[in-house]
Amino acid sequence: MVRTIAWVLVGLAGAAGWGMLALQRHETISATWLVLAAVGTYLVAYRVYSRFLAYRVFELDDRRATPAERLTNGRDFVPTARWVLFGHHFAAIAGAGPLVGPVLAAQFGYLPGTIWIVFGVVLAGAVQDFVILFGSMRRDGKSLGQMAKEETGPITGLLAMLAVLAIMVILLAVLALVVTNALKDSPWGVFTILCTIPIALLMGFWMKAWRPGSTFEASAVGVALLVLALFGGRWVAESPALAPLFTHSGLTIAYGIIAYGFVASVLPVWMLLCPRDYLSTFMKIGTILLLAVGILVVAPPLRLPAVTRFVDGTGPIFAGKLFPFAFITIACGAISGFHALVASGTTPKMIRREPDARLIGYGGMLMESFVAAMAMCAAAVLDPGVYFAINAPLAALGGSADAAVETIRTWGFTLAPGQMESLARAVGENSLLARTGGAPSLAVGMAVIFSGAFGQSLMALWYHFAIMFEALFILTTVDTGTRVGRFMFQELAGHLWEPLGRTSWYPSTILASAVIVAGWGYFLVQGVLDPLGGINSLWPLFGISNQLLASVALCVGTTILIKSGKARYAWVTLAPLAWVLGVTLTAGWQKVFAADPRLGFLAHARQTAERVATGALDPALAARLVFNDRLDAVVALAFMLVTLLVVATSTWEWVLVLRRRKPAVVREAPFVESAYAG
Amino acid sequence: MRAETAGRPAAPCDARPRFSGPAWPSGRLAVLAALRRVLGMPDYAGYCAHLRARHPGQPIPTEREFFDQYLAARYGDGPTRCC
Repeated sequence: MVRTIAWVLVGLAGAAGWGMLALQRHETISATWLVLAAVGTYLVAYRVYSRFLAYRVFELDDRRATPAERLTNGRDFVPTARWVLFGHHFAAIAGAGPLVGPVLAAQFGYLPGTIWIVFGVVLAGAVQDFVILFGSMRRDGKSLGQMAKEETGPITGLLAMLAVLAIMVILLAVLALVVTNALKDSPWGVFTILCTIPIALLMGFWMKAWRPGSTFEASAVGVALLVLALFGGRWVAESPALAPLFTHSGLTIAYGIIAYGFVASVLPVWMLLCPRDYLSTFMKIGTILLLAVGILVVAPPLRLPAVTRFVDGTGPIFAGKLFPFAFITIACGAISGFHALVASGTTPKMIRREPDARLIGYGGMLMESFVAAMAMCAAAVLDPGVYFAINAPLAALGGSADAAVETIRTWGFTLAPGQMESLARAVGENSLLARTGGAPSLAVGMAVIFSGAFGQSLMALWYHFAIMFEALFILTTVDTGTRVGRFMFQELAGHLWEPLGRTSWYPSTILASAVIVAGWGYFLVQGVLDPLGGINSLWPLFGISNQLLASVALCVGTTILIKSGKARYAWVTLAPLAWVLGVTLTAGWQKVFAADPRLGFLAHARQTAERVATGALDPALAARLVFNDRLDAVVALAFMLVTLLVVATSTWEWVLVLRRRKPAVVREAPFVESAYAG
Repeated sequence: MRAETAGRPAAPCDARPRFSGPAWPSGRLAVLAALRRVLGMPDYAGYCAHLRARHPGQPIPTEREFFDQYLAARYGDGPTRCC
């Protein structure tokens, strides 16, 4: 009885949150309502829908031993307490995507993005994560590619692997671009981030050579040094002698990140990658908790309109209408194909009892969505004028600070002359105008919330704390991602010439690392040089690739359902598959073929060529821009083609099974009675 | 004793590592071990307990050796962190 009342109250709280968001359209409302709407919906969905998925559709079996129990080895196969594994899985899936995506999508106002973040996760994103986690758990922790190969066929497996490799390249490029834009012309930021390298090396030697196994001790020292570096950054930025040494253009920083990615991929893991991983995980969990506390304590008003006029596709941050681009831009906060890789990686090997998969797979993704909702709050607490002045490229703002004031007025928002300059001074930056990529505006939003909760005088420190936190874990994704890409390339290349497949052979390691780094490095430099800021073309490309990977994962999930004789429940994966596929293919098609040069890659290439003909553009630069546009178009088309092939081969398999031309047999590991049951 | 249990799932007292309580870890060491799992750090004590329980005859590696093996297993294949 008490439980029922509690659930009714949760439902009512969520409904009240949505009611406030829906009704108070012309007044500013508190961010608390947004949080309430999100959390209420998550709890009800977890209680009702995930229970249906777990026990009716997938029939999680308490008596069936998990891989962690059967194959326990004390290293990667370890039965782990449910809430501990929830934390582990969440730390693995949370990254820059759910933070940056909503900030960019706030261009449409906070409401469309929030609706997709909350309902997208409940019906699509969390379902995908749970299904893949379930599939991998029933198959001894096999990866997404292996499951695709075994359940659907070798061609699908190879296509899935190619898709993952291509997505990795685009993902790393766009994330590195976000960091580049956050650090350019910022001596404070550059100094702090540079310090993380010697700090990580010190931690590495500490854990490996001086005091083996003392990972906590080394990490605590690392975090303390990181805070020192944060203060050191302020000192450097204020020093007339030192500041110029750490003030660099975007291009220099981009080449620095490329060199770093290569070195980190080639060095032994213990030296740089593993200590950075610990450092960034500490920071990530700590900062996300801090942000949640900050939003609840401060309850800041949402200044951004619920819906802006840019739903018509004329937005300055990225081109394209609300449909389909809101759903592409949010990316990881609502559904992320990349999660399928983690949900079929380390996590399934640690599940103690089958029913735990519900909390870890479905619940973990709800938590990720909550992070996205908080990022949306952080963007929406800014003055709309400030939000657009930070996030729009300089060309769209009119080229200068004075012109920006006028441009933003024509967009219907206000920006006082000198407002951006004083804000930049307050956060210890040279300029905040046109700092595209989402990270700087997220950091300003977080600084506003944190200094509201913990004292106004620390604004600059909070800003640089937020920048450090974002850059730290993005760079961790860059080095782990480059390394994974290197392994995948070596595996593929090993089929052509066997020695290339040896991961411990140095020439092969160096070659493979160079290929992967050159791949994302090319797109990164292209983004830095892009007069429209790069994010405009690269972020949608990333969103499209990530959602297409989600389609691949949902195909695998549907195959598992149909082959295990549960075709009547196939809609739980087919419905999100249809939606995600529809949205993503529409967006991909528009990015390639739209007639508007701001939106379509090919139209932009044509426009560039015309400007050369009229003498308005240098032919050498134009040739490069045209090539890049065509390359982006080819990449988008290739993603779409690969995904459609996976969908086609999967559909063929479903038809064969449903028409009983092929036996409905899944390749699960055999049933073993669990010792934990009872 | 060993030979009798071979072939069927290990009894809970053999298989269960220290921190796999019902939902939450309890006790200081278990909490530390749990934190390590959350952060993706190696748990040497847990590994030793596992070896002693499941493979009593096997030599136990030093903490440094275990660290190397753990890193190779963790960062060896597949992404460990998302976007």
